[in-house]
Amino acid sequence: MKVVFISSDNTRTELDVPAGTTVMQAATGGGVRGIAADCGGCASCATCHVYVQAPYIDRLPPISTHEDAMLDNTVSERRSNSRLSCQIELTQALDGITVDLPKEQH
Amino acid sequence: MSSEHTVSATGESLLTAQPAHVPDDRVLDFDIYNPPGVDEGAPLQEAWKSLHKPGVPDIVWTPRNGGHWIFTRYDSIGKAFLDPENFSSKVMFVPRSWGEQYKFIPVTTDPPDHTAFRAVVNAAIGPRVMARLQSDVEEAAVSLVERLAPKGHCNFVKDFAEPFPFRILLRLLGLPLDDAPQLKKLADQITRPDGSMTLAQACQNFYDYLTPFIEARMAKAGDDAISKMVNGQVSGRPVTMQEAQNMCALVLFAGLDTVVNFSSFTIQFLAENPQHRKELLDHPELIPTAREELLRRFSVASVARYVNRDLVIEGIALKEGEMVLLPSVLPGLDERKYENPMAVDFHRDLQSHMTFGYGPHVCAGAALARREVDAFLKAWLTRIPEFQIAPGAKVKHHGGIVGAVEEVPLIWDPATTKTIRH
Repeated sequence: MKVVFISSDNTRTELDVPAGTTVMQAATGGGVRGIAADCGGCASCATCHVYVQAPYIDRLPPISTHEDAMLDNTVSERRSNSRLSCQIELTQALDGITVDLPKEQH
Repeated sequence: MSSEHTVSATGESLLTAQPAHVPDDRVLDFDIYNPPGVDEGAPLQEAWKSLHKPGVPDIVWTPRNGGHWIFTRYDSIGKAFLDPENFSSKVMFVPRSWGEQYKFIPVTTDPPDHTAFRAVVNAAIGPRVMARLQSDVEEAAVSLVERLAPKGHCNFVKDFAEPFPFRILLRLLGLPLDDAPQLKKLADQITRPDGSMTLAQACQNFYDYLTPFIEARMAKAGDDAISKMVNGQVSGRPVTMQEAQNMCALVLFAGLDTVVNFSSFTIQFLAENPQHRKELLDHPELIPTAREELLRRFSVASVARYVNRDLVIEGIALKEGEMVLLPSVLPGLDERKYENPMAVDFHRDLQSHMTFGYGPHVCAGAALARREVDAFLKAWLTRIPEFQIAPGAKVKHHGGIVGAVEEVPLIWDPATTKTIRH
């Protein structure tokens, strides 16, 4: 599965990871800076915030109540395409998913 | 068994007999309330580092504090933090008999219950709230440093490390600033008890203090963090009085003894290492990276988990009901994860550390702590760039659930201080 990260200074990083990996795991395992993921992937810290580009944003499962509450507490502004990358598991439909990284996670 | 000399401050007997399933080569005498040599003047993190000495196994069992396991390495500590089904937070302090008296929320809950409470706490003190507090935090640091600068000396712990975060915390919670010293004493009885009260009594003191404020804000909400927590919703219902007490007590308690000690360890390091100080003065843009490196090196907390079922971890049998200490002090000092871990290097390529814990319970106040540390470093170094430990003074550390610095007497030449317009 291909996943693309675009940092706030426009650095583009493309990674190839197995299906089932989360976007957060792809970033932390692939040395992408700009995703902190302090809690390790349980949607407890709101520090793996990403903005998911079209068309992928519409292919994601709906936001859970808990993720919704956490997204209200990210340090960078919440937008309509804000998600926590630890909650995005890569599937065939998401191959090529492109996410913009916010300026700050802390 | 219960004479004065066989019981520790937590009410537990000094030494517990080795259970049959604990292999002899895993037994090591380590008291988290008094790590080896600390009472005699050894630096706290070096005392913990003794658990990484050659020949010491990665998982050890100590007869102190009711008898408990200690995971000593980055990997095993991280895995346990991420595995609440096997390593429960329902008891999170050793000795177990001491931890069982502690009911603060969300720290003593497990998922899925934890999730709802965590969202309420995050809404009250999470990253977004902290971003709005930025200028308050910076102003508090600057005004305290400016008052100290002309004096040429201070006891950093009492004159800065305590009043600075207290001011922010009590403002955030909407509590009277004058109550800080009294509250600090209560917090110390949880993390470094002196035997004068049980943990249940120490917690009750927090509830008694907070209850009138909680009642008032349940009746009429303000803009403070207490109002947000006590009027929060969990799983579609309002929080109960008892839950409100346990959430508010946690946020208050956790803010009274953590940044206080971390910034004291940091100032001691900077006083003793002028080259690091100079580097930050010449390159203030390094402060956020330096803050993370200092957090890695001078971690202070040591919490535990309750073994939920019989397990075998790295070939060692853990029994249901046993306690495992997961010291946040140790992952940052693990040479398998960080090259030359005892050295402080502001250019280290540090992707992560476990000073704020890991997993569902990762510190909810981390965003506040980070802002406080940045504001402290910036305000202090720009105004008091040259300082040292007062000649003849010995800086003494203490063990405990949160490691502490007793006092840091500093001196400087007021002529070297700077006034900065802001």
